[in-house]
Amino acid sequence: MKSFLWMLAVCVTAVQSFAQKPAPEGRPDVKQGNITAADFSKAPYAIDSSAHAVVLMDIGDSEFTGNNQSSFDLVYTHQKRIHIIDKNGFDHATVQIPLYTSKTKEESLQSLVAYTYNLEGDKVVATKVEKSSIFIEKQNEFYKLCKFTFPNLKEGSIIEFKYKVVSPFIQNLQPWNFQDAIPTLWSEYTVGIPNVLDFLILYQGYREFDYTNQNVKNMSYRVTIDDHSYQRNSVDVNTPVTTTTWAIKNVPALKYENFTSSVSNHLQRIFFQLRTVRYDESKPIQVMNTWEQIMKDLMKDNNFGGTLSQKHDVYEQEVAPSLGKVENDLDKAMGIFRYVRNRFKSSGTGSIYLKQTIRKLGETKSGTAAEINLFLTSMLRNGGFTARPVILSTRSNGIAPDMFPILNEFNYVICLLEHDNKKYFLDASRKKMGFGRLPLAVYNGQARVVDELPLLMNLSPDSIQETSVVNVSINNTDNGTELEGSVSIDPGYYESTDIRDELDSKTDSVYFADIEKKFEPVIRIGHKSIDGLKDFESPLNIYYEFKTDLNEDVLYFNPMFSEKLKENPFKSQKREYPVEMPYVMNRRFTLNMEIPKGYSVDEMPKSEKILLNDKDGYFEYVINNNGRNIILNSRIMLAKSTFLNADYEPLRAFFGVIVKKHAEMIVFKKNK
Amino acid sequence: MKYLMICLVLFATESKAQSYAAFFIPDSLRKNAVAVCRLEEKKVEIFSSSKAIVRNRYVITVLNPHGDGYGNYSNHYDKLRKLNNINGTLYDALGKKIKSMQKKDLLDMAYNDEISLMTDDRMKRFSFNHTSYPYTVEFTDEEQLNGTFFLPSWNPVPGQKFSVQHSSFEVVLHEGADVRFKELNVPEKPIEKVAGKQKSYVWTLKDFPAYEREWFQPAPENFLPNVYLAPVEFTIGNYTGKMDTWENLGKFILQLNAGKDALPPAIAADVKRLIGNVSNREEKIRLLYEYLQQNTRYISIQMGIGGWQPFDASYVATKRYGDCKALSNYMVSLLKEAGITAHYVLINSGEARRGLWEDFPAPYFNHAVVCVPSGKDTLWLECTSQTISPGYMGSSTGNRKALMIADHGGVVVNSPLYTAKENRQVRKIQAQVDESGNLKASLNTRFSGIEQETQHYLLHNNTAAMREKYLNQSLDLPNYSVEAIRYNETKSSIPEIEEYMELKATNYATITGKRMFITPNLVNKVSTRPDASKPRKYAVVYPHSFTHADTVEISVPAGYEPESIPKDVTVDNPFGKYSIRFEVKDNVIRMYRRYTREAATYPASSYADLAAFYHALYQADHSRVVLVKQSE
Repeated sequence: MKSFLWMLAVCVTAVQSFAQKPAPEGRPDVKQGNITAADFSKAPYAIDSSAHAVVLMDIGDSEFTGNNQSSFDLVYTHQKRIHIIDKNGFDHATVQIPLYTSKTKEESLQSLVAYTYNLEGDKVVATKVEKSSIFIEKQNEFYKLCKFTFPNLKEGSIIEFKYKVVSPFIQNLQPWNFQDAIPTLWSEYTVGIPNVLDFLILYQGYREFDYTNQNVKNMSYRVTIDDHSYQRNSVDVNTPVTTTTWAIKNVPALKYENFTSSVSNHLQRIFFQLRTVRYDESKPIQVMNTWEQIMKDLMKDNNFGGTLSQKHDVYEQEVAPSLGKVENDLDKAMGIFRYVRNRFKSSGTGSIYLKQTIRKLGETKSGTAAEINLFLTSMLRNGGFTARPVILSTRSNGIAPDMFPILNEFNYVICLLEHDNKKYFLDASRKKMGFGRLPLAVYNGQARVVDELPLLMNLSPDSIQETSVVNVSINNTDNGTELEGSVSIDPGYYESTDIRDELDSKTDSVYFADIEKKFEPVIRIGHKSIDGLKDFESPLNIYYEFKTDLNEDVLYFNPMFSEKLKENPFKSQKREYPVEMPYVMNRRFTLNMEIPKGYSVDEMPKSEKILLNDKDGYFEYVINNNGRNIILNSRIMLAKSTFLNADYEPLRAFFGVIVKKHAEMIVFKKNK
Repeated sequence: MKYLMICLVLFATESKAQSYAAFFIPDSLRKNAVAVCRLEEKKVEIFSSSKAIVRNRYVITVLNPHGDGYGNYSNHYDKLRKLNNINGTLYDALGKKIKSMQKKDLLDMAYNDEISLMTDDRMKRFSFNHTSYPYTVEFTDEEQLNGTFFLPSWNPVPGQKFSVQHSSFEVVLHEGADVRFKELNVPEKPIEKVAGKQKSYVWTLKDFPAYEREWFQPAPENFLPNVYLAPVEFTIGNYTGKMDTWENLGKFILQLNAGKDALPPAIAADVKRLIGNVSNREEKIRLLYEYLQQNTRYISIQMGIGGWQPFDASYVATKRYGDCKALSNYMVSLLKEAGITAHYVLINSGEARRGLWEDFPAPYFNHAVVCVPSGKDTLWLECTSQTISPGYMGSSTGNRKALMIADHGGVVVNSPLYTAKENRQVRKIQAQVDESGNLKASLNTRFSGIEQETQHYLLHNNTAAMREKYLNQSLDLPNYSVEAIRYNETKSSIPEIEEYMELKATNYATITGKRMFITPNLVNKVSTRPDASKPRKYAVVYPHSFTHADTVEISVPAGYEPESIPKDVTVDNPFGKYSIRFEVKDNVIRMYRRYTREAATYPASSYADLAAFYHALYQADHSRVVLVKQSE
């Protein structure tokens, strides 16, 4: 398998450049219901002998038809045949088909046919999914779900469904995932695109296609062109139609792993973006444009940037009065940021567009992250600052292709403030993000500043140094029956955010009680403090003092105390995708411990230093005994956040060494 | 004095408008609270067995972001229950109106219970999404009940950290209408009034402070005020019935299920073929139950009259699927065909609400099972699982009262009881630690009763990959991998699963210089250490009964001698019996551990002792052996 994702784009009109591959062995007979006794073979599937269900074939087809209400209709036909091997595969016999609706248009489900096939003796018996057992349930204003399950299902049944959805949303040319939660023997997608509709086609995945085919035919469509005048024109469009088929055989089940930004980044898929509509060659309608043009449009679009620079009453009436007395302009910007962050409630991530106007947002004080940060941008501009929106795709949304301006792939907006020749990235949609701090979810590579010059910003997790520093000091007490110590912890910024979240639902005393539990010798925590809980701009400082008894002849101490790395974060032996950590890890620990009075060191761990692949990281554990004190420095440092799967073994071994070293003990013996 | 005057003035001017200003909330109601019910007026008007109207009005002050959930609107509706006249108003901290809810912002959505393929249920939801605290919301709505089978209840305290200033519940009975009620923890009897041909009851709750959830607390219905209603006579869809007695409620269920037991000839023939040569009754039941398990699966479709009427037996026979009602009815039909009397049983599954109130017949059930009565050998059958043993109910439906629908009507019965004798986990471990501290172990464990449920689920409801993933994460061991796993299941009304596992744990023993540190208790440690520093308010309800027995043998490399061996610990008190013993001899560490507990309720005053019990077990379970390599 290739370690890198390959992603490339082909323009459908470039027929001659298309490499055709003949149909290989194993292409199934796709005729619906053509199922024979041989298909029920009980022999385990070579692709995965432990599979509970296997997709025998998954066939999709998208084509355009004429329409007398609007331009084109998209007709999506989907046929899927699954072999249910045992009871654990029964869940795959329940099917849900989403049908999208807008205020004026909706998708319609046509000709759903579904059968269960069982082998009875040597006869294949089919049981139909009856109409009365097919449900269509309105979920909310955006979509309905068609739901059904297969009757007469047994271990060994084969099920097959085929349906057609007619959609008026021609931009939603269905993407195709060649990979499923269960293994797929054959996955094939055919798309017929009239050349008047110029779509960009994007591929993602690690595999090459086993079969591709392309042909061109001339077709005529009667479509209605709504040119926003009172007159709607029905016209005949004659155009060549390019029909392309892609297929892959034997695709293993999708696997979920830890430290993955999003499994969708690793999925084998094809997706589309409409670029131009050319009913009339001389008057092409640009749908997808250059970044420059898109940014210009976005800046003018009332659902995005169009009203950001306008004067909004909410600024004078609410934001400005909340600022109080400000020392300087930066203070003022921070005040505006805090106003928005503290007052607004985020409904999560959605699209990059405004669903409410800036004025309405000022009233509802709730919206998507994009809306909140566009509002912030507007308020900063009202306050006289240079602020611009930045669009990006969050980690869980996958990587947006940076070569092509496909706005659908972007789902998040942050704000870029420029002040005094300094740049500040702001996100006011998260309650605990400080001024100039961004949540980890947005560090997903490329981001675009919405401006005349659509600057490309790099938000890489490699740029986040998450540094934590822990200092422990332990001393004898005068009475000689106990030791006293203090621990000062400076967690990294994001770890601090996690602790702030934790302390939302937990009292300080419970938090420290949990620390007490993690200690190797039994301790009693005395004085304790957490500084900076409400200062979201900076990391926390946690400090506590403790005492521990000296009541045994032999004392066993783990010198890492509660800071030891207990488990290897990389448990599984094999890895399919790259390891994508959210930041670059840097952890330092120091101990300065007086040797307990009346005791001497019987033994202690040896110092150790290792490198990860020469320069990808290092671990050091340096311990010294100078006769009075034991001094330990432990440091884990990585040089980057993402490791290819080829580097998985060394990474796992590296953490293995750390876990082992961190478990080692110091033994003190009472002097005789 | 000055403060008081101001208040008086405010009261005087605002008394009509009922000030919602947050500063009128007394400190006693702010304590521990994230939201306060300022006023609730719930009124149920019952016109007849087929018509009732519920009017809700509530005013809630949300004190901080944790209370936002209490300030949201949400209510259900379906074909038998209309939801109308929904209004909402938002007030600021001073009680000044900010805005009203706009009808178009009210969300209308399918009610997704995460289980059902399809239900009739829908819900309406709304949130002001306000973020200046405190704020106050007021909502009113009206439910039109088309039939009185399900009547509303009064739950003035819906959850923790929620206090109530004033809540009232009024039930109005029009001429000819009747109702029964079940009062739980209500401070006062209702005020009864008769006006003409109308009769009314009013319950009131005032100044109820917020409570905070505690570890193993009693079910809220044991300490929160509630009033439940149930009809005497009712209508639901085209059916009428009575539920003044359990027997009558059962008669209604008989009416719903009547004529739904006819099996298609092919299935009847299957039944004959299966049990033709079998004379043992229990064997017949087992064969037919297996037939059900092999030929059906669970698909929940809750439609029609409140989701109470099962699809008939021929539906299940042809579709091979059904919900708990349809599958239970089908099982009863199969047994009937074989000449065995079995009954449909309504029950509450899960931990939330167990059993029923014997003195208050009411339709509070969420599940159906089958009971095949036969005195001591009575068998209970869970019909929605393709893998459970015949006769086993377990943690979801065992240990509780249920309503059996006998031929003459409903009868309250007890489902099977599972005690520490049935719920067992007996484990033997043989392990070796090598010179570098790596451990290899083989674990042989016999799980039975409720203790085998996790393994049953792992074995039957997971793919091999999921099972491997779970097993590689579930044990309390750092850095280990499961090398082999085998299961052997013995089906019985107390099912048993034997698990054989081999695992490797790198660096299980910590080696520093000449010493080796080993924790003999590999995988069965008490991990809870309750915090006893906070005073306990409620009794401790411990719901689990079990017996654990562990034997561990770990051989270590030659040349190591013990420096420190943990002390043996024996605890025997009302909370449980526990003993752990350690031995080190001839390079072998041995540990014997036994731990037994029974489900029980302990008074709040015993909480410190209970915490001490856990601390003692925690320490004993985590204690370790220190070995020293002898110099040659």
